[in-house]
Amino acid sequence: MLNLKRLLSLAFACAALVATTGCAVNHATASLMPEADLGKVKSVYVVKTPQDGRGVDELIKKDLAKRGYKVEGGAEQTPPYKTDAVVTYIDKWMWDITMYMIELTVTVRDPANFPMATGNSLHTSLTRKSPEEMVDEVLTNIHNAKK
Amino acid sequence: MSIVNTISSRGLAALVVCAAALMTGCAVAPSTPAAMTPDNIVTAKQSPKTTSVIATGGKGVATDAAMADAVTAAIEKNKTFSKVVQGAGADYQLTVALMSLDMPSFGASFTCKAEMAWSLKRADGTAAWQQVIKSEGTAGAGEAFVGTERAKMAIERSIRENIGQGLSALSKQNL
Repeated sequence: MLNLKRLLSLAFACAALVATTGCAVNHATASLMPEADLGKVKSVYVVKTPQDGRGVDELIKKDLAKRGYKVEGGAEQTPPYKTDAVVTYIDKWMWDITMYMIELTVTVRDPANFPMATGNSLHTSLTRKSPEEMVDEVLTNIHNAKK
Repeated sequence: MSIVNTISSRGLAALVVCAAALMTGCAVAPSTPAAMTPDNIVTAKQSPKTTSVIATGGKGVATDAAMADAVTAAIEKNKTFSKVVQGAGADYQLTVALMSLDMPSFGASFTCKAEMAWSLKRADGTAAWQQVIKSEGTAGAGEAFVGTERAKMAIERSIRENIGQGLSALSKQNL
């Protein structure tokens, strides 16, 4: 009887999970707008997402600086920006024993705020990466993206 | 005892089905163009010119090909341009790039936020119009049992809304 209870509990939990979870598979993609030329970008302004309490903007700034860009950052401004490009991002976090970054989307825009390129990485718990690694993966994919 | 056996076997079957769903939960079929094609678009002007359509940045269930077909179908339905040309030879080239899909990973109802970059170039390569369109689509808790199906619906609706807004904005231009 105990086994039956356990079985039903497990089935119920599993059903609840199936019913409430969205799609989550590991992937990493990036794409460039047809007319975009990231080779001309020397300076970048990283727009801090208002909901970001984990300093993802600082990780992006640090990674871009490491790649040789002149980097500034702060709150969203009214376009046109004074830098060659603007970077915005969407970070999503999940809890599984500890909090981890499950998904990061980075968009590189021209000074008028029109998108030039975008990159996205999603790693579920078993293949989780540190926020620094997620940032590096997305920026590397954008850098290597083909039109 | 037979009732216990029945419940037990049904519980086991449910568990197997759920486990299979979890393991293949993301293996939902890609979205069809029809699911992302808006029904009615507020069209200010119908251009007598022709255009080609390119879609990029497809993510998950929303493939580049399906998005391009959805935009093409919406243009043909609403006569935003006189004709959609496959390949070269059109007066304009319309590029629609899916930049981001923002949606919670869990939930009863899913709301997806889509950002798409719309860009129209003349045949000589000069820019005629460009705009970033942000849209939302929601799938309610009761619309499908499996979460991935609701997530797919939310993505399709956000893209459908985006295509509607994009073509509506495009129709206001003097082409």
